[in-house]
Amino acid sequence: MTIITVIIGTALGILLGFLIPTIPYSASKYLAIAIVAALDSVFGGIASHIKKNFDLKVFISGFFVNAIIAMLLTYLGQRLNVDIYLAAIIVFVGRMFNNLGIIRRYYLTKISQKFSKNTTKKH
Amino acid sequence: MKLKINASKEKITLSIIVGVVSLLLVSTTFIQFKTVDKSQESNVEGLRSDELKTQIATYKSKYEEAMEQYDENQKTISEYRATMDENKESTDLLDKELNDSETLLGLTDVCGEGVIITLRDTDEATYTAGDLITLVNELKYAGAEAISINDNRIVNLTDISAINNSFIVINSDSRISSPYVVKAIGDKSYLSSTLNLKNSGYVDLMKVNNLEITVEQSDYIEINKYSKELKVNTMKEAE
Repeated sequence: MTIITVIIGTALGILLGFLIPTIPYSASKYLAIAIVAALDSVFGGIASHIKKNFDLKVFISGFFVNAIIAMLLTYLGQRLNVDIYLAAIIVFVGRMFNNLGIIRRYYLTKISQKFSKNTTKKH
Repeated sequence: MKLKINASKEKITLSIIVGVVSLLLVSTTFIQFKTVDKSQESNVEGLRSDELKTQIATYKSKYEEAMEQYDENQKTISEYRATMDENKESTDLLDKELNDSETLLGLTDVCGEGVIITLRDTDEATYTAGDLITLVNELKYAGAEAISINDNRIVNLTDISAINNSFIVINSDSRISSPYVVKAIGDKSYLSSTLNLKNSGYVDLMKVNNLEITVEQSDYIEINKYSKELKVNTMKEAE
């Protein structure tokens, strides 16, 4: 069920992405940081799902609020002439790697468990 | 049962939310891709200031290069100009030479002081081609620069000959007859005095033969150019 909605959402997203006209380049910086924040939330959500402590409210709030705050911080950085978005990117990408590590480890153990089960069955 | 429905409801909500999230994420990502792609096609309005700075620097170096090229080209042009001026001088010189040559050859209308000699056959005697040749030679000897007989210009290829001792032909195909009006441009007094020399002069020689001849000096004589084409068939310039 979830996978189907994800596929439909992705397909619609690609379609929409091509249909919607481009935004001005000066605004693309904010969109980029929002995308990174959203990606971080998505990976965080997957990781928490694996850890069995997934909370929909936390996920949704993280998804939107992180993105918005990241954009606001970028704007502030622009006004202050400090590249705050770099800090945001470092934090988000670092967390993304953390979460990816959790996901990777989870599937690795799952696969190895399956593999060892198969081998024990054979014996 | 109720629990199950609740569970499935939750699942549905979750799925929908996840779908919406992926839609948002993917669509924004693609918008961003498009924006970045487009921005690389250098639309200045959408660029950030640091990018603009680098572009300005690039354009500046390009401009300097172009300026150098321009200066070089300008230099070349001025060189060409100088050469052209030189060429013009030589062209002018050549033109002048050509004009002089044409004048000497008799290919231009000329005017100036000189003498007009009128020869008329009488009942007793007629002018022969030889007489005319002698007159032309005399005039040339006296320094005539341009001569014409009945408006036929005498050039270096001119021939005067008699056909069947009955009529005189000049310049190969122009038949002329009495009265012969010979115009000669040159020093008028020298010309007339040469012709009028006592006893041995042309006038006296003709008069002895009972021929009618008058010589008049003029301050302004016009002699037309040689009307035919000067053709060279056989001769070439020796190397």
